[in-house]
Amino acid sequence: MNSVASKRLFQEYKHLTTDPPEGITAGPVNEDDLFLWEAMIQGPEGTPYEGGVFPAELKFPKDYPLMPPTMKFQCDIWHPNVYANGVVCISILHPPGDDPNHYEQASERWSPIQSVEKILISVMSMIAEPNDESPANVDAARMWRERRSEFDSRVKADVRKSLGL
Amino acid sequence: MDSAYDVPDSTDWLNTPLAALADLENALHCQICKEFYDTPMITSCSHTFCSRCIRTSLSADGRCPACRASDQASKLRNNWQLQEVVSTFLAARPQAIQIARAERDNANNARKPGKRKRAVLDSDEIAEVEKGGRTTRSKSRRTEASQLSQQETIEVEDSEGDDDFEPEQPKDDGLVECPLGCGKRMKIEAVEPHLDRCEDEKEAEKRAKSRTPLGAFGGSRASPRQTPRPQDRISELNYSLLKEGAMRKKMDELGLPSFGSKQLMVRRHTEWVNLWNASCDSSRARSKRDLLHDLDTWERTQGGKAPTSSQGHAIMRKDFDGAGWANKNKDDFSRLIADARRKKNATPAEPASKSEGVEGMGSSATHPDENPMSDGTLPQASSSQQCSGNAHANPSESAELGAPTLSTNGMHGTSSNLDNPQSPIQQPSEPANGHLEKTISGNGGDRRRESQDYHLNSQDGKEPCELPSHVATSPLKKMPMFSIPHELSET
Repeated sequence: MNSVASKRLFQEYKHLTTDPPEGITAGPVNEDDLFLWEAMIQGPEGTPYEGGVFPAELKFPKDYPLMPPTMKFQCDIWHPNVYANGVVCISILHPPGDDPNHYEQASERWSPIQSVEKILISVMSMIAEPNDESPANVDAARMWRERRSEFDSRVKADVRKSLGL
Repeated sequence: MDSAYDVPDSTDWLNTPLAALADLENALHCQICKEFYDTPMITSCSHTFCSRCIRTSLSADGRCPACRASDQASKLRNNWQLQEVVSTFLAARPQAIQIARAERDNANNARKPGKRKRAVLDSDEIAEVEKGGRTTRSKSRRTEASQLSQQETIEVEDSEGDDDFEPEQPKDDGLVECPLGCGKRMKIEAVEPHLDRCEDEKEAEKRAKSRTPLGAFGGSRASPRQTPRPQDRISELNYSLLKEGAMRKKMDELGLPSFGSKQLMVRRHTEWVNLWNASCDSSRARSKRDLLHDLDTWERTQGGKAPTSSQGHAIMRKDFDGAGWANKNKDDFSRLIADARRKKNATPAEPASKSEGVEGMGSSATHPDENPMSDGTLPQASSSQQCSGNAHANPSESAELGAPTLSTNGMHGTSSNLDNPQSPIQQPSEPANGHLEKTISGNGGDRRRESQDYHLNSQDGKEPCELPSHVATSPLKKMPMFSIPHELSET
């Protein structure tokens, strides 16, 4: 079945496989279902996440690219913009239109011209620079704001744990 | 992997001596489908997309995907020059990529003398490809891909059954020509209503043509076989004015499937309008049968015949079924209520207003949509506790705060204060700062953890990061938590 969405997902898959951005790999979990992807993101250098590798799952709607996918980390990641269950809260993943709360510009939200690559790059920079304006994990946001050293050491401990060290 | 999925991509150029062409190829890609422009159309804001891509996108939210300027499908104009650039590039691409790859392989082999033989083989392969003879598997896939891409410039959609494509024989579609000779073809039933409008439409068309004279000539080279029959664009209907029966009739008139709810028919009609008009934009109009084939693909992937098990991909919609959601997550909600009750029982003294509050919570918890709102009211509730200690002194007032407007999240915060009638008396005796801190680190944190639980639950229910949870988190910005730390950080 060659729907618009699967054609585009395949195109993106090929592009990401042959020319992946640094520190990111992504692709369908199973090539029969292009609507479920797995991505690996390296912790950005110079941040407490450095050295970690964070697996995530991307689910695409049937009307992709009109609507954005959702992204969920498959590991523990202590971050102000990631819910406790791993779901990523970032403006590029929010459906097009205006934010009812006016926290985000419409231009920051999803648009069909975005891509998986841009999402993953955005998430990588989100990891490096949390946005505490509208946190998903409030406890993490508080710690990040008020007790940065505790935050850093907790993240580093998590990274070490995930690597089995 | 299905070889039909093997698509040309700009990354094909990387690692060849012509790597610079990757950027050129990217520039010739539509930003929506990430493929070569197919019938490029230019918007009012001067952005260019494939006809079908931009039409689908505009019917979804009426804005240009690149700059968010509002636009209408009727204002789109063909970008014939770009179309010609794309088709010329596509014609040259297969040869160019073969030469580039051969060059790369030569260079590789020169470095590894042991593989000299392979280079000879490669040039043989190219010769074979040029003759159209048998090739090795990898080569044939490459050429297949480039052939595929060439086809794609001609057709709006890459269709599975290429045999269906018979632009020269549109007569088999069971339509009749307009008796007034406007050249339009339609179903027999549609002739009667058409006769009334025929003259007007011809006038309108003439006017439209005279306004855009370039459109008629620009694409002549790209379309040597212009279809003789003119195709009129159709427009979306005023769906809100149509009842389900009338909508069904319209669908039948157009020869489209008319099953399903009105909503589904509206979506199907919109899709059809986009397909049809994209075909009109193209220099080669496609047969109705071909278009119906595409509509069927849509039906099977996104329409009425789409697999329904894919709830995991669901995204919050305007027509979100709040009651159904509450029903589905009843277990979670009742668990939260039970949790709340248990916590309540843990505190010894319990005024009557308490259980009232829990009832109120139960009813409001069944409306997840309300939670964000009530979350928003929380800061007010807690600030009134902080600022005016006598807010608690009046049980009816606090019950008002605690009951329907407050939800699961709110209950733990307020109820612990509510339960403790002494607190208003104790609190004023504490130093103001200490009290603030206590409310924040104690109750505030607790309440927030609860609100997080709520998000957690709502997301485990396969609605990740949907609007409500986002809305629910945003008001947190107003919470004392962030205004006070700034006081703390100053010290």
